[in-house]
Amino acid sequence: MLIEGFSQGFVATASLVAALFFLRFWTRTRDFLFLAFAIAFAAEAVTRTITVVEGIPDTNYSWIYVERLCEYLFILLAILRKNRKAS
Amino acid sequence: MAAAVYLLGMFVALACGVLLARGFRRSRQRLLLWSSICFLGLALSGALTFFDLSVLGRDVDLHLLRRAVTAVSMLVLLYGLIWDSE
Amino acid sequence: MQDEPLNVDRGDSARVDRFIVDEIDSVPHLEALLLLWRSAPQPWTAAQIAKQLYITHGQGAAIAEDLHRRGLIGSEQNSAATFFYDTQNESRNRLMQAVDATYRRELIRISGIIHSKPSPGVRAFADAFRFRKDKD
Repeated sequence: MLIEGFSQGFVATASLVAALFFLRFWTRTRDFLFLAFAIAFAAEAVTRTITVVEGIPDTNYSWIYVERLCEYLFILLAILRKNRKAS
Repeated sequence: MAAAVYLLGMFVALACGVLLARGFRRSRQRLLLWSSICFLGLALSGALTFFDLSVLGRDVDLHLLRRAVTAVSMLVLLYGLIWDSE
Repeated sequence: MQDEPLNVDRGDSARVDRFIVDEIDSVPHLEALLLLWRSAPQPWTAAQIAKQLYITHGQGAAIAEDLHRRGLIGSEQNSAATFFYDTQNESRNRLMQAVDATYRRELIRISGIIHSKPSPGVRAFADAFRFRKDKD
């Protein structure tokens, strides 16, 4: 139980920090891809925090899947958008 | 359904990892090395989750391994962002 | 600071700025490139380049490798690796001439462009997600 909280907390904090770095990269480059990563990692941080605080064993709740799915699609879309603009 | 999401997540992370690995080979920028390793690790974690949920039975629980792989991946990413992004 | 470039017309000025934004990672990178351009086709080792620019050997080698990887300079792998500016491409030569003239007259502005770019790591990260390889 403790190790679960610790590892989720670790990953949540790391994701938040990564999100902040990507946010900074976005302000420097105005490249939407970085904003997409920032949002995705921030969402990870929020999701993991909620699963720990609510005591959810995260492999069983559908909203987590939906949220994760949105994250992945968001990143995919950002990558595709980047290449559509370049060509 | 859940398994499909994790599979998609694995695919996205794998794609990012491969693109960054290629970018590292071209540019030798170390930020790409670390972030590539991170995304490949996240892909591995997604794959493990997929197996844990859909293939393996109750007697094998990869939970802790998955968490560890994810944590190490994020640690590598943080290292790269802090030391090699300037 | 001069605001009227003398021998560089406005079209050239835009091309120079574009080149700086696209290809130049730092001021020492630009100075190394110009060093080789001005002395073309004389070959230089990384150590010699570093000495000219008052940077460490390691930095000189890294800069020379970067410029070579971008196709801005050529290299000979003999007993020691040497680098030189290859004068074959006429339009590139004209561009280098404009860059040289612009840098001499507008050093602060050009340095400003270089310093306001996001770091090479960040740019390389963004470029990695491009499928078409027209840059880098």
